[in-house]
Amino acid sequence: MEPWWLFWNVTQEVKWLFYISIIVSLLISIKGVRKTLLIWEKGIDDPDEEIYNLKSFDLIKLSFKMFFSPDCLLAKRLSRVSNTRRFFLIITILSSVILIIGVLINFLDYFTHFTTYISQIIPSFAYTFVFISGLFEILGIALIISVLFHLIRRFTNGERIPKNPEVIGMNLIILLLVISGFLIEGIRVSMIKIYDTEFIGSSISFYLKLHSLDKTFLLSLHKLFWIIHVSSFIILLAYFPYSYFSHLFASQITLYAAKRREEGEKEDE
Amino acid sequence: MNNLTNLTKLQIIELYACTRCGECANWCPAVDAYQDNKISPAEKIIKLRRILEGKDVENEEFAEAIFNCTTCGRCYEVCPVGIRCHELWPAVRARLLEKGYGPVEKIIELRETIEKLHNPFGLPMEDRNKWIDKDIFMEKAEIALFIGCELAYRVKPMAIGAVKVLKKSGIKFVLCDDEWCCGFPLYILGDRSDVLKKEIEHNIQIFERIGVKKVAPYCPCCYAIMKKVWKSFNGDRLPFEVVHILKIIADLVKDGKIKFKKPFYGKVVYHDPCYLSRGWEYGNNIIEEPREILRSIRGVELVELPESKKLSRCPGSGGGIRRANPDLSEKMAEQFFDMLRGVDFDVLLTSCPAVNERLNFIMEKKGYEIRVMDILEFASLHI
Repeated sequence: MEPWWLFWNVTQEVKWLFYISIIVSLLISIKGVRKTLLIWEKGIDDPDEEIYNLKSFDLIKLSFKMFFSPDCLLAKRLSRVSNTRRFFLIITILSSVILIIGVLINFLDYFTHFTTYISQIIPSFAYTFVFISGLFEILGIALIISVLFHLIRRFTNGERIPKNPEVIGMNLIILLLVISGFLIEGIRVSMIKIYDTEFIGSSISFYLKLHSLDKTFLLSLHKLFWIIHVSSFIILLAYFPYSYFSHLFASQITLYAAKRREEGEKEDE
Repeated sequence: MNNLTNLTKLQIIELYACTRCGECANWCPAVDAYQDNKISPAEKIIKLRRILEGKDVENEEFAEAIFNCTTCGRCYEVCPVGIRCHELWPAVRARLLEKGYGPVEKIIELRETIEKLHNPFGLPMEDRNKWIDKDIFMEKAEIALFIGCELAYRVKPMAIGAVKVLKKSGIKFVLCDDEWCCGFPLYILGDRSDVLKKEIEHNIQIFERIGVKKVAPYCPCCYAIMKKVWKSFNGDRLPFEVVHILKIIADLVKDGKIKFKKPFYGKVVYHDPCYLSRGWEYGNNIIEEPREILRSIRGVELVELPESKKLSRCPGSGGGIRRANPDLSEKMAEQFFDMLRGVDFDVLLTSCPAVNERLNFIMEKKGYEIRVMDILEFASLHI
């Protein structure tokens, strides 16, 4: 059975609406990033500061460079107060980044089928996919647990954490995105009978089969979760530069500055 | 209030870097005292970002929150992404004041007092140096001691102790008989008027005229502004080096030029002043120096406070809080005493005149009985 059949379990109109929404959401997102950069540019370029003379493009470059640098992920600052929080923070960052890259590769594969060509040339390449799909399952679960950790700690341990709707909303959207993704996978696995290493999807599919649910009902459910999944992604993509998620760009820069400051401190000592 | 043109690029990026983790609020002594999250750094950052983006913010409430901070900098130490709120707020205060928000009348009164009498307490200039031997003023020396208003008028034992210890070391130093306010009280409350400029420029000129190579302040607030701000009033350089007196004395102790002959058999706790342990000028933290001095006194058993060194707790003395919101300042001092409960010690030492004043004030008001002393006053008794 064509593996993409169930992916597009929507009408042609919805499919187009999806493409248009993604483009619009991407444009809104780019506009948000541009707006943010313009606000940053308004700041005084202070020679005493660690980012002196860096223009917008340099700042974006620095942010990306720092994102994957140990100076950022393993920064002492992150664990100065709590190692648990550092652990979950790293899990959140790593799992979301790898999952986003995975989705992009999948998206590319849909249009180019490059993985099929590679598998024809190198037959063992198919095993890589088995490994990757298993890894994505683990990362998805890890992301759910870490987002739940961030959300629950806001309400349970009496800490003075800002509980404004934006923070709760953004975290709930992430949860919705990942959970709906697993449910879609579960229904897909139950219908096309491919198990591989998608152990979460397979477990859900096992549960669905246990209850012998009607195929039409399953297809409707699939459509519903697909719409939720796609909508939450579109909202997240469009809104994140306007939200506190802008820390995904900005915090690497402040961490870089803090590190340089602290290095100066050590030299002086 | 939508034009924050005085913020630097990194300061603006810091507003976008906040992850809303709330760690700052967990450690903020002002939030502790008022149990009000509205004054937490994270909440202020949320509002400040809204202002930058041209959105509506309740200005009066925001201004109140911005001034309800001692700029102690503990939030920077615990912030996972390194946001320097203690540097942000003075800049924001300056803009708020321009627009007429915050404790404007109190600040104008302070400005007028400083302009007239060159100290924030409204005390006569001729009383400033009454406590000191005249011979020290006239000596030719490489080091000048910057006393500061709080030591000269309010916490004289600190100044006397510092002079006694320095005299015993045999190094030559000089005191300036025409020292003015360092500018910190105005700067920290956001006043960027000509008075601030005049006070700082006068002090720089005086020390340049005396021809000293080093100026040694004792008050941590004087030290902070001299290190971070003074140079911007003198073409981005100072004609002398600024070295904290505790660093000079710790070096003299290390070199064996100061020896403490009289022992002290007891438990001593040292409170790290915010601007010395954390401060504005990174790399100039004075944390080990006071401990080295104390360890060199025979019999001293140094006990660490539960919140010490880079995480020391401000007892509501700095950042202009005593003037801007005396009620919050008092509550913070009481919280500081709460922290002391359960710590077994004979004497509490500090090197901040504002802390010294605040603790004595609360002890008198509440009837607490704790022995609070300045570290150099204590050292001078054992030399």
